[in-house]
Amino acid sequence: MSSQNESEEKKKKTKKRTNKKQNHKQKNKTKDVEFNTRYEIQEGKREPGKEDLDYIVAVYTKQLRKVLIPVAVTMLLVVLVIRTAYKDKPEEGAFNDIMVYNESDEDSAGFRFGGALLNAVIVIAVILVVTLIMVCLYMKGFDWILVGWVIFSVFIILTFYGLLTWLEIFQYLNKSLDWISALIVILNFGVAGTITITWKGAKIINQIYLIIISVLFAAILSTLPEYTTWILLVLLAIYDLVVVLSPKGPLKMLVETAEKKGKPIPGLIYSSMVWFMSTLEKSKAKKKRKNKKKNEKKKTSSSSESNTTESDDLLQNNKLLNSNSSESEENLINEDDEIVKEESEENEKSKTKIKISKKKKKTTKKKKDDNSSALLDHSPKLGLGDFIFYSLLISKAAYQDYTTVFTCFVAILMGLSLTLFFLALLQKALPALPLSIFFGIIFFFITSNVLVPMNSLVFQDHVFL
Amino acid sequence: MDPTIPLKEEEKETVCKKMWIIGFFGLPFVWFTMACYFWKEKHPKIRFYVFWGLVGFFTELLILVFWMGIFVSKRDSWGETGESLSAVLPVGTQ
Repeated sequence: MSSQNESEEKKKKTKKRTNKKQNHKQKNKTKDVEFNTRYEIQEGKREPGKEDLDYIVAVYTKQLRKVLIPVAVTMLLVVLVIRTAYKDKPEEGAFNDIMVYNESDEDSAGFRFGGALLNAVIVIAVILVVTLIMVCLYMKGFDWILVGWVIFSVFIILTFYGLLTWLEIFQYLNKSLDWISALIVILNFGVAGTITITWKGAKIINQIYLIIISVLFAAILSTLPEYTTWILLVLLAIYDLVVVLSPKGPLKMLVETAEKKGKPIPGLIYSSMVWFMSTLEKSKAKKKRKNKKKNEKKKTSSSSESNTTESDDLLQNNKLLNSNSSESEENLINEDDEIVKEESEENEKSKTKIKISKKKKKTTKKKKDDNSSALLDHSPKLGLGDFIFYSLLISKAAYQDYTTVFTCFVAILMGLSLTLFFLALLQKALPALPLSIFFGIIFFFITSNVLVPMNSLVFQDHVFL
Repeated sequence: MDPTIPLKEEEKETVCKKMWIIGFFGLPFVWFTMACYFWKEKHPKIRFYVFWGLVGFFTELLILVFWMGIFVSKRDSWGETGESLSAVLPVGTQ
């Protein structure tokens, strides 16, 4: 009797197991159907219908988290670095030797505005020129120059500016440090960073290093004079918009050349790097390429063209600056500052491009399913210049007070999520800078001029809002 | 150049060996990143590199921490060498 019961129980259990398996297979099949419909839409075979819109929104929300978190982390780190190490430093005017017009408090507001506008326009012009050169180099097949430039500039930023920031932070924390261990640690940090970014490395370490580079760059750029920074940001946003969305830009040429060659464009991109190993919903492959512009002149230029060269502007800038600065009569410190500043500005501009990926898919075997799993990098990619310019805006807010920081933080994330939403809807390359910078600037000026004085007055009079 | 492209099986050993050699130039952190990247590999040679790379990393880390501890505590008593060695001079010490 008991054995019969046992056998009956066993049969029931096996029935349940098979039912579960069948349900699971059906679910997988529905997901396959979803994937197939998405794939067909990507390939242009079907028009997106209403049910696809729901799919788009679902995919968009999942991807949003993967892009928002790194941007938020970068901005928070920049605020931390600036509030500790950079805040109390007097305005050294380190950029003044590069700029055409040196801002000073003695001049009237209109004069300063005009001078800053001139500075910013020159910077963007330089970025344009450098980007064109990069595009030409890439098209003619000299992309080894660009790759070498990227490697060099990443290494210099990580070691040199990492060391500077580290020493500043330790000075603030009042700790002692000796040169031997400092050099050892920084060299390790720099070499490991260059290897993971430009060659092969673990995904998380790659992302961490890209965030660190953005933080260092933005902290350096934050020493730009006030008016120049704001005008530069506005001009960069406009430039980004124009370059990415223009129908005849060099961006498309670059992308097409990249596809023909089959090699990725050298540059720094932050990709969320989600590799889907199963037939779970696959997000659209979006590529946002960073355009980095390299400055030829010593003046900082921070415009990025729409070309998809993601080569590190820093590296280019360094080389160009070095060649230029050797001819100049400026002293070494200024040269270093120039190099740093130019690099940072060039790298700041990034364009987000969304591209429907046409990469070859690798199939990996899974235990039971015969669904093809693709090792595709279906992830939204954000250029490092976007990170850097968002962080630059936040760093300007960090020099004021925490209220401004908070509102600008919210504004930038708002702009970024809107941009991603349009990305999901329109499925083409979109610039990431304009919306966020637009919101960020509005919020910054409203907060610093209206909200903060109101808060202090209200606090004084003990009115609780 | 693009680090998002996953490695093929044949290339893994050469990449691992190159990182292993780079680590010998006084760069134990490269061993650490190599270990992070190749952690799940089952190839015996890669496991050898990862294991001994981690061993090297932790020993050098210990040595570095030891030296930093000595320096931070004994810097005052060393006089001039201490001052010339320090990159950051904390304020308010004798």
